[in-house]
Amino acid sequence: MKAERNALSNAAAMIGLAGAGKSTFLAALYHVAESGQVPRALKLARMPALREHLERIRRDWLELTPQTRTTSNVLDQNVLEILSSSTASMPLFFPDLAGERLTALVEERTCSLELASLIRSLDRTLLFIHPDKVVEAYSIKDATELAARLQEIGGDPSRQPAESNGIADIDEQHGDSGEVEWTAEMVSTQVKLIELLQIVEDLSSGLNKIGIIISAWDRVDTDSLQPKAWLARRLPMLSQYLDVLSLQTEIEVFGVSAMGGDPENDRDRLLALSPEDRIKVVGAKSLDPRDITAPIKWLIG
Amino acid sequence: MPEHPSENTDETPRSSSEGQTVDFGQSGPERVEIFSGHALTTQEGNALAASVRTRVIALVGPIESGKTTLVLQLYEAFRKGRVQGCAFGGSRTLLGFEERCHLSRDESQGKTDDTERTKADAEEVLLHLRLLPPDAATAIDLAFWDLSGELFSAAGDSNEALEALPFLSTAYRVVMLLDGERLLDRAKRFSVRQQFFTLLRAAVEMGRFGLRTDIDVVFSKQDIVGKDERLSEAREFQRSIERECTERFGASLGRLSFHLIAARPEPDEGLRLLFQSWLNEKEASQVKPTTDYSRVLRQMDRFGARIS
Repeated sequence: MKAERNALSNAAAMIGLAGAGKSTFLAALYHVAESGQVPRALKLARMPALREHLERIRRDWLELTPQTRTTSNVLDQNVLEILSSSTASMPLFFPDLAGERLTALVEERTCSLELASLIRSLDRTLLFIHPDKVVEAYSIKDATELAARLQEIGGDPSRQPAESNGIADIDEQHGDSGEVEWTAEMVSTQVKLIELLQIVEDLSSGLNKIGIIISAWDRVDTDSLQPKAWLARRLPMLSQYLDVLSLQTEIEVFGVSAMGGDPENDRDRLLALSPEDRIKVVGAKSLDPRDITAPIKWLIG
Repeated sequence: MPEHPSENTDETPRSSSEGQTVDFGQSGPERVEIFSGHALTTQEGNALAASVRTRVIALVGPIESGKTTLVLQLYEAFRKGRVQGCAFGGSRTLLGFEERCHLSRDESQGKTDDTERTKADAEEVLLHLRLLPPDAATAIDLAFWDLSGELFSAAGDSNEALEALPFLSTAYRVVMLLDGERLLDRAKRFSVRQQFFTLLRAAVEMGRFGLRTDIDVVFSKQDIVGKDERLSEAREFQRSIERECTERFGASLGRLSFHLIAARPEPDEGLRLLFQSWLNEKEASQVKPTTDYSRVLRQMDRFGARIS
């Protein structure tokens, strides 16, 4: 497997923080490319020789079962040999980098030689962002104003932003002054993602293409808001960073709903659809919104 | 936010023995170090400047005059959107910014906006921002040198301490802050002025400041000054400082300009315009011949030739 990977040029990887939806995307991508049910989508030239992981996440996706998390100390080797209309079969190495490992890269500032070696080989990447996992950093002034507004509209002012920013147990982090001591874990999602891209840029010798995948797009989908506009509104600093980076790197933003809705609350409706009909891709040039291979076409194009 | 994401985001770690996997974790003894993300030391600043042309903005002023708050509030403004049409293009010191912003953040569980004071013995003294001005084709790198208040006082008291400060001669811009709140106080305002002029005169006499030095004199904390009943008196005092500064030093320096700013609660128009001026190229007419040019070159050699 390693020899096969090393033989590939233009390596691409899926990156993102923990729980960003990478495995769900890969499962749907594998299914669409293998089944050939979506016309004009990329297709598999042949079944991957080693496919246990791919088949497992595909079954989970088909059954609307939560994906088990890619473990923090392994990196899955997913080689999809792709056929497209314009090229002969092309092997696409698609490592699904564990979100925890990438988060640790930002917070702990070291990585294994092997992970560094893999990142060095990259020249394009898909960065995943889950809308429900975006953690903000609020100033005391903003938080005070937010609490006042919540009180006005009958919300619960005791639910302060610090409670919702992913800090599990702040009591353990109090210093002598009664204030919580700073840790890198507290950094907001957009700053972590900028730092992750900077680290990947630094370790590789520059990326040629970065596709941004806003996963679970059904959570934020509105007729009026395109994925790029959502990114600028929700993660404005990351959006600026990508704008500046676009001077030297091709960047595209996609909204992808691989599930098509909430697998718990919307289960009956989703199960009534054929699996590929649940998919919705926004922001791609593909005419078929079910074509989840559209971001890959763009990435390898 | 709803609790149940529709894309499955995983609950159970999977065994590493399953599937087509290879260990990419922490088991190997050899690790690759990644740049720290914290503020840069002088040496790291020079290394950065050696790779990309970097403009050093030297922030100079007494303790609690608002130097760190000024740069942190600019960073906070970029977290929310563009500033003066300028886009954030990255930073080698994101964690440095985040750590310094902590006391003003809700997560600190503090009661009021606060800024951690820059320590005199801090070795990490430079905060970096890469920015793209509107309609520009290339980004500009700014490195903010945050001189601690203690070192400012020491430099006012001794030529040796003043000589030891890096960046003063080579900074793209020297920003000298006077604490606007202290200028309201009749008991303190004359000592504030004296400290400012002492450092300025000594730096000019020693050749640390010269015709290639552009100085922004900043009267900070105007959010407080503007609400105070002693406002008109403070304004008159501030204008007297401007007049004296221009008369005594205008001919010895490059560009000399004066600014009223409020960094809190948000950067006001004064700070935004000041920031915008750091992105402008120096006009040819501003770069006057200087008698201490060889000294400037020596300093540039010492601190990295590409720092401007």
